[in-house]
Amino acid sequence: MSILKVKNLSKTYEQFKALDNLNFEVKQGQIYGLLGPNGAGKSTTMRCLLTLIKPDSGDIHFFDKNLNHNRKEILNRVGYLIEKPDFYTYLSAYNNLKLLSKYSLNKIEDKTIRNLIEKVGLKGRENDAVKKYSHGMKQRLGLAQVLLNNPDLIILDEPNTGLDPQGIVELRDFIFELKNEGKTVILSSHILHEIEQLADSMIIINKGKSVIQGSKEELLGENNLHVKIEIESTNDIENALNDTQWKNKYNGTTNNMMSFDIQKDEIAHLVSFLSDKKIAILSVSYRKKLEELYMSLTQNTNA
Amino acid sequence: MLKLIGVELYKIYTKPRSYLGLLAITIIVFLIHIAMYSGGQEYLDFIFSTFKDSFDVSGKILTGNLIAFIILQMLVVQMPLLVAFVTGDIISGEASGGTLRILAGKPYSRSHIFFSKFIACAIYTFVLVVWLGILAVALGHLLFGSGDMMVLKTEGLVVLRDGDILWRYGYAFIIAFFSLLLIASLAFCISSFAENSITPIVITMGLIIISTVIGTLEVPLFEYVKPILFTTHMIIWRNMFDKPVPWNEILVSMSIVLSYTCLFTGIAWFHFTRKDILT
Repeated sequence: MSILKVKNLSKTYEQFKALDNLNFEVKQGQIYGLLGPNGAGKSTTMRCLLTLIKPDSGDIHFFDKNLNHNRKEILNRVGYLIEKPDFYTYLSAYNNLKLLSKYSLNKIEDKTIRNLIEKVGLKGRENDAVKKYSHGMKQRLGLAQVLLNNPDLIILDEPNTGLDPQGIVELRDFIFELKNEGKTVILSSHILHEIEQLADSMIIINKGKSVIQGSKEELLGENNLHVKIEIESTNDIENALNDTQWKNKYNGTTNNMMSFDIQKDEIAHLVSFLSDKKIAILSVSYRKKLEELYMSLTQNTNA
Repeated sequence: MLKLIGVELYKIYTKPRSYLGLLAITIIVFLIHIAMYSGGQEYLDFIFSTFKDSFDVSGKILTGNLIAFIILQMLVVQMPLLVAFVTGDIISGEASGGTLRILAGKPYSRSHIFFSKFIACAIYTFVLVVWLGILAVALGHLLFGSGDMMVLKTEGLVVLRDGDILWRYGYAFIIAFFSLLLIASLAFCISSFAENSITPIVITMGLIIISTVIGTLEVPLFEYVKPILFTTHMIIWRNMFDKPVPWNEILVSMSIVLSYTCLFTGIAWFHFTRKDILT
């Protein structure tokens, strides 16, 4: 079941097109990764989802309901942390949560707040003013705030920014825990390794457009690998490939590096074919890491 | 809505800067009381010396009623500053602090958030006025006692009997509240556009000073502008101490004050409910 559908979302700031007909869909129970370079439109997308920014055009449906017409009901089921965790610094963590709980349509018991404080590891410091908190502690408080109304969908924008390695591991466990509780999480991060470990599906956006999207299996699985073969000489390469099955899978050659989009089990056949054609192969590599996919796609669209 | 107003009031009254207004009023009023207690008679003798040839003044001039009147002059500059100090920060402070984006994504509409903030500002302004009233009138009476009141106005000298004064103060403070609500709405309006706390306070005070200066200067060109300046009508509370009270004039001024309040609030609402929250 789809929990979020974004259709043709566009937003322009003066001359700058922040979102350009963006489409994506998030299924229930997924951890969905939102990736892209700085200024790609990730935060704008997330802000549109939360009605912080009004898109110029496009539709957003949560839980099969239009956001514009069912804002109140929808946002009561969404928890979010956008950019850095900001709070009323003159108030304690407990009082911040108590205050923010009033913005929910549900009645949030004091016990719930206490439990959340314990869950995020702030027990014992809940009465300290937030201005005395470190960034990591504020981030924990931010996560407690996200869960205040027991949301079905959680939106986290760069949640691991500024966290130490231990904090990143704890955050990862926390997000997995949310998934195990049946919640859907939309997550943007610059730490590709984190997204790779966490996300079930993802979208890479650049210049406000979807560059690629799909499940992790589809994007990083062993099908449709991006294979690079380094050769000694590029003479007659094109001729060698003509009228073969490889012609349509061939992306070109740059700096003695041939590029193909093929399946993993085809690699051996391709190498064998090239050897038969007396093409000296120096190395064979194929992309598997998200980082490589990300870099190639965002660099291509930046070019 | 009531829940949100409660939240906004909680924010105001847990914020240290909110107490600066109350503290400043307390200090200023106490200073005026002390100054008048120690050297007030000489001061008044000097003021009324010009009338000595025309009037035979006997009895006590320095009364709690007169002290309250002197203190009410604070409404022109000091009180607007204290009001703007809190109301100018109420939206922009949240924008710069990043908490606005937390609130704006909550199920309550922006209009709910906006009006809960505005009503909380109005309540805060009311508290400031009540506190000023208590200190000015009650403390004045306690220190200087009651008595007839002589008010020196541009048109001449007005003498009010002791029993004819307190109700005038009641109305004067109501008018003062609406005048300061205008300032609150102006600061609130600028606050909805700004993304830092200082700008709305500075702009509000700048506008008050400019408007006051234009209203004070006796230049023919400015005579056309004066009737539409909000500061012209903010001091209409003084007319409550005229004999007879010019009710029509007061009602016209109050209508203009309320119109300005609605205008500033309307502009702020229009902008706040439509703006992109990027902070």
